[in-house]
Amino acid sequence: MGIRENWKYGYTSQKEWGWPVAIEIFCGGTAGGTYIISTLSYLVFGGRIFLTGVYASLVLVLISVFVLVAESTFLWRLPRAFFNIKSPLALGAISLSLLIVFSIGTIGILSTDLAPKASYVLGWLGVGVSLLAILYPGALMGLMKAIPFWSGSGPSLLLLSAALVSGCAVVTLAGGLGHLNFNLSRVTIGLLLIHGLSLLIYIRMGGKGSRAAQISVQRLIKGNLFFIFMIGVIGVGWVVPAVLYLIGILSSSTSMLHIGSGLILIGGILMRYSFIASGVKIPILSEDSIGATYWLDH
Amino acid sequence: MSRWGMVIDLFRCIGCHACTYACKVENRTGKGVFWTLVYDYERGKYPIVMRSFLPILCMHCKDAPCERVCPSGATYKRVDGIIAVDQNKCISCKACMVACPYHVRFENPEDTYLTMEDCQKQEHDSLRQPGIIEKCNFCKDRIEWGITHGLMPGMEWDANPACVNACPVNARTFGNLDDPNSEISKLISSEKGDVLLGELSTGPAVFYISVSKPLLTRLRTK
Repeated sequence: MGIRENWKYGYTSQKEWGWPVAIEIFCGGTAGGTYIISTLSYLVFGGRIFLTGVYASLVLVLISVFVLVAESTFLWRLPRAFFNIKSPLALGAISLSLLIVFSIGTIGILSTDLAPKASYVLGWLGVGVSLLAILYPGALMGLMKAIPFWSGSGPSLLLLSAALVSGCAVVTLAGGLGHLNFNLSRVTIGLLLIHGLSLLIYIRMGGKGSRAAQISVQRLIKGNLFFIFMIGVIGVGWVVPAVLYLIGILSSSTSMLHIGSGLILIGGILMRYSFIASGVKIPILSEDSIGATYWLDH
Repeated sequence: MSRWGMVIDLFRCIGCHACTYACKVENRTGKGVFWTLVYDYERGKYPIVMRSFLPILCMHCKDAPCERVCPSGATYKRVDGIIAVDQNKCISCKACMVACPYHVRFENPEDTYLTMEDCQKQEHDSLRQPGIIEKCNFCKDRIEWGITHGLMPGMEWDANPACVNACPVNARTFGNLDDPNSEISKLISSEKGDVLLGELSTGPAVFYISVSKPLLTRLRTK
């Protein structure tokens, strides 16, 4: 790569993060959401913890950590990811590790029936680290002042709703319907609507934001990310599952709910990728930017 | 205590890229890695066209976004304000590259050595491995060497960053931003030094003396 290829004109997308980061964020967030939904029945409504859901949460968080490790150039330095706790990324590494510990602890207690009261404390601690695992990518993205579309608290809230919806979908697929003492399918469709609305509000606000944020939105709704976002995230991941869930609830068809849940998960991973890929940086150079200037003779 | 900074006089810059090459030679950066470079671009529409140069390097921000996101503490702020990277701590997560608004962080593509002597001796300790994120450090080794030898960075050749020494038109001035009597502080106040992307409030330590804004304004009012 020569100097000329390094020239940065106009609005450029960030190219450092891609699919691996999207998979890592999706799996980590969904693991957190799954843990919360699986334990909610016990912690809030006095029912039982859905053990299969906790197993699913453990598998997902392990996939997330595996992707993180696989992407790292320096395996032996990975413990350093915990060092600077002021960084949301370090908090993410801590929360993912603790989620593994609490998931294993919850499974252990429920499987052996040893110290059943401890499962209550462990459950709440698990919910706390799950929330941290869900929110840290948004907090990290919110710190990126150079990418206005990501700045602020919007990404965290969006990832929270996305993780809870994905968590419901995983619990449904893991056979959670009927095992929880709240109506999972109705909670899922409620969360799906909240998530869809927050997604639309976020896009709308981005469209009214700075020029770089507007370009990010344009890339999502009519640019190179159109198919992934409009077809994948909005269509496959939101509209179709909402319709399937409605049909499933009205006709008591679990297969509709299962198909809807699968589509929610596909939409979830595509949402993470499209948001990462749509990050457009503020340009250093523009028509008004400073620069040593010379007239060109024609 | 000093806070090192730089002023780049765009009225003087001729876009010769001497700074870019001096930096590469001094820091022995890998292929495609330029800790400082000069953007060369055209503006306007025919027949009113201008050619502009913008030298760029790490801004050593007071509130550096790269430092805030680094999970391993590899990117850190020194007491003299220089934002440095500890190559032995970097885990290559690239969060700093995404966070940097100035596009001045690079992933080292190949094994490189810090100095020519290390390269000849094949010193393993100074080997910079591929994947490590690198950036300008204001030639901190030259600054430290100069201070330990009683030299004042910004005033004396041997204590200056390589790009400052290489500039044939003295467009770059290096010095202590905290000293109101330093040449750099006087330049910033007298010439109204401007920073890039000031709206992000990152507090860059690299200032620009601009000429193009008045030119553009004059052009538009004609």
